Amino acid sequence: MAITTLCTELLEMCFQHLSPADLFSCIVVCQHFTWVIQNSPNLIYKLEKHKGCVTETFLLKTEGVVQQLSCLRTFLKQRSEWLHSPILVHLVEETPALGFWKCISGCFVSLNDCFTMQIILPTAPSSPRLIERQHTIEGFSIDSEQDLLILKEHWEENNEITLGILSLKDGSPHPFAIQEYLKFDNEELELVFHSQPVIKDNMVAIQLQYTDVEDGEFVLVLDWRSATQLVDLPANVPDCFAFLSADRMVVGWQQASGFELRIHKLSSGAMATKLPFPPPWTANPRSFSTGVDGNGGGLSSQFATAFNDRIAALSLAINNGGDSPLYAFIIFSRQSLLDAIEFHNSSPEILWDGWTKCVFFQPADVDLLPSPSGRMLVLKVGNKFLIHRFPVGYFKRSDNSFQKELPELVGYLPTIEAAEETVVLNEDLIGLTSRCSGILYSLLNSSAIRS
Amino acid sequence: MAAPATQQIKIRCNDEKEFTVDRDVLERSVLIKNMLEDVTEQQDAPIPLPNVSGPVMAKVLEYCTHHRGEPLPSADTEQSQDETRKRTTDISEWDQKFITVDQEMLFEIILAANYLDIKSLLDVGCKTVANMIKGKTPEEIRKLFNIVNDFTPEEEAQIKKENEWAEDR
Repeated sequence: MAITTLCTELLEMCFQHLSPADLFSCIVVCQHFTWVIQNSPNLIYKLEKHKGCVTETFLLKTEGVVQQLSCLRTFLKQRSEWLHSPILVHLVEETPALGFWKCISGCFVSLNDCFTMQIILPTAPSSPRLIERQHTIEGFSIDSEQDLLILKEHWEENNEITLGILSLKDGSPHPFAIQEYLKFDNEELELVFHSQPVIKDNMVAIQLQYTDVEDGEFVLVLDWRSATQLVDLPANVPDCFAFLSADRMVVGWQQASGFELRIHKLSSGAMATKLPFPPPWTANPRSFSTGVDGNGGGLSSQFATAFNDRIAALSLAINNGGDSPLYAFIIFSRQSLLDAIEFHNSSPEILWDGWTKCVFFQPADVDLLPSPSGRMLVLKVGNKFLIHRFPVGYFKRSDNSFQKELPELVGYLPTIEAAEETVVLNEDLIGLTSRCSGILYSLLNSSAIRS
Repeated sequence: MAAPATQQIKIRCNDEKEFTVDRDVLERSVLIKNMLEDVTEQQDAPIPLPNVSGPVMAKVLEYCTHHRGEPLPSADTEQSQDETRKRTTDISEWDQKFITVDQEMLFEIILAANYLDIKSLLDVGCKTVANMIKGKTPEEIRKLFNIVNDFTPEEEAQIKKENEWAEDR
């Protein structure tokens, strides 16, 4: 009679009493132990929590939210696989007539693994609103912890735009939301499409534009539960926005002079800090030159999309006067942005000090995508999605080198490649979830697009 | 008020060893408790327990006799008890002494407690295993339980790497 003859369930019970450090010892003892631990949601959660893969907001949660989380756990477990955060999900099938999904088929990506699973949703949402009328879904965001799916819907009949507040489980109206959907007056306002709703707790941020005002775009923060407006942040043509914490929001946009980042304090509604951009070290000949000059040298931002609770990343094209521009990612840790708020007035260079990393790369065909967690960077190269993980120490303050290798490559999404022939990626439908969850990509069947 | 005479129950283990035990002691086992509730008439035939051997049952009965009369954990508090169970590996002094047995017996007790559905005993067993593991390196754990390392060095390095701890948060 040896310990390895105990069944999985009993071993798991024994391991429940261990600290993360001891669990870490156990996971490398033998394959059986590894299997037991990696297949136990509780134990993996414990390890991941310790590793910091579960975000702070998660840990601070009240009982109610924990309950929701356990609902989600059951939900995923029932469908044969359970995976902790962070996850990526592809949506592969849509029912065009209803504009809603039959099936979420997934490639779930954790920090360690990449595997596929399927979640079958009911073929029709239980909301009559979505069944009876013709509409298209132009974007969405999910927050699996809150069982929340926010749809950006376009109603052809009266050219109306709404935000549907739905339960992720079955597409029914979200039980916590007072209103089934949020409607915008499309006489004066228009939802701008190049960004997705961004969710954080009870808040959802969207980008709106006054139809008759040029550059009249702004970011609106709403409480999706009570359907009330919280704050609107003036920003001319914001290219990206994200919650840094429950009270801070960062908005970035392209200007003639370069790229500008601003951090807003939501509770006071006031604009807080304008971050210096481009970085002071761009003048450093070792990196690249700045300013549009006679030689055609210059700096222009392409995208600033990979925003979430933990990191912000910009993708830049740097024209050095040569034929092909150099490309760079600048990756901010959340800490660097928060520091920037605190210390900007006294020392503006702090943003660029230590916690910020810059990575240079040559190929042009690389896009940044919203990252599923603060420890990952998702790139799209051609039709392939690459997931890089920030190794331990990547953001260490003591390390002052700006030039770093790309973070370690942990995987790519195999289903995209496999399905290449039948599935077309619709990039407009990339949703970014808040907290630790992930990205939801929508893939539309190419035959559906043709018809 | 006179207490009703304690009913005596006979059980038979897989090695033909038989025990005659007070009903309230045996009812520490949810399995046996349910069995007894299903049977309305007095039966003389011993209850067969094909998954437990005599020496292990003797040990389990020692535990049940000591803890007789204590309230059984109820089903609806299971959730919160799970929580507290996870947090503490404290074992009471008597239980500690009771569970000081060789590994073979320890695992037998865990299996028996699981089979007989004696939550508190199962808990004591699991905590004891956890206590044995605590603070040990993987190599020490292998030695302790006589486990063969079945990883290739590459696999081991990979798993270690995957579970690297974040220090910079």
